[in-house]
Amino acid sequence: MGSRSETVFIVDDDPDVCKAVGRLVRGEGYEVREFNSAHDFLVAHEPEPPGCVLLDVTMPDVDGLQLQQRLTASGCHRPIIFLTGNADIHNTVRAMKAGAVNFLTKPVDRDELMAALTEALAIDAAGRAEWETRNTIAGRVATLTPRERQVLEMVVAGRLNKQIAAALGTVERTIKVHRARVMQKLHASSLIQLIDIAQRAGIKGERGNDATPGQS
Amino acid sequence: MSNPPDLSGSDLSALLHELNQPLTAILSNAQAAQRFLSSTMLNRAELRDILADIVADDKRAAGIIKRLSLAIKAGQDTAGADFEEGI
Repeated sequence: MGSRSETVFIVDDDPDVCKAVGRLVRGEGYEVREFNSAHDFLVAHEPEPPGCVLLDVTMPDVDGLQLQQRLTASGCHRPIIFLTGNADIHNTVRAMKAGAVNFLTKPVDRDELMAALTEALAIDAAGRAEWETRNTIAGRVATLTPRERQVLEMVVAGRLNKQIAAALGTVERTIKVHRARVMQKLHASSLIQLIDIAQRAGIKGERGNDATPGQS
Repeated sequence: MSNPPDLSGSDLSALLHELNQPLTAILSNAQAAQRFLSSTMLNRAELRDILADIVADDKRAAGIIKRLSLAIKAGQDTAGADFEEGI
């Protein structure tokens, strides 16, 4: 029945609950991995496959909230849906503040659970897409020569070609060539796109050393 | 059955929490079965397993309710005795 690529990691110390909820989620076409303790999950968990965690709050040893902290501390931002027997306000607030996407009470109805899964998986996908974009951009930025990067920083700062040429001690024609190379390497077809890409890459505008007014 | 727990709040809430577990399993199993029935490939073996699990979790829930009522009864007896002693 598995038709979706996302994995739902179910962590609950009660084997009956784990198995039953696992069946329900698998029945909807998701990949399912079941764990009976936070420890088992932490040992086996790999952050790569897209998906979310369905996590029981009350567990012996490491409870759900502690597991959430450990995941976050390890740099894993996989969305978490908490499942709890008693939704006390204190735990709910703590979990939500720490980034939980939802907090469901047991026994949970299928429609409610599926809505929460859909939401959590969308958040996971968006986070992965954003990460991938940043990664791609970072890779392209890394191909810039030091001089091209310098030109880019000045373009982002809003300086004109002739101002950049003056600052770098060259002619405008050379800057135009650099600029065209930068646009090509960063896959930017307009100045607006170029600035957007530079911002995503964390490149700040650099006005150059000799930006004294009137010099150009 | 083990000793009936007393009516202290933590025991009661632990039992109530415990009751949620089989109820959760029963609901998920039943809804998974509904889903399987509506799919084209009906897996009878899986359905049989699900029903067996529902029966087992129902009995588990009944056992917890029995312990709960014993706990409540024990608590009421103690409370009653205390009350009489007070007079």
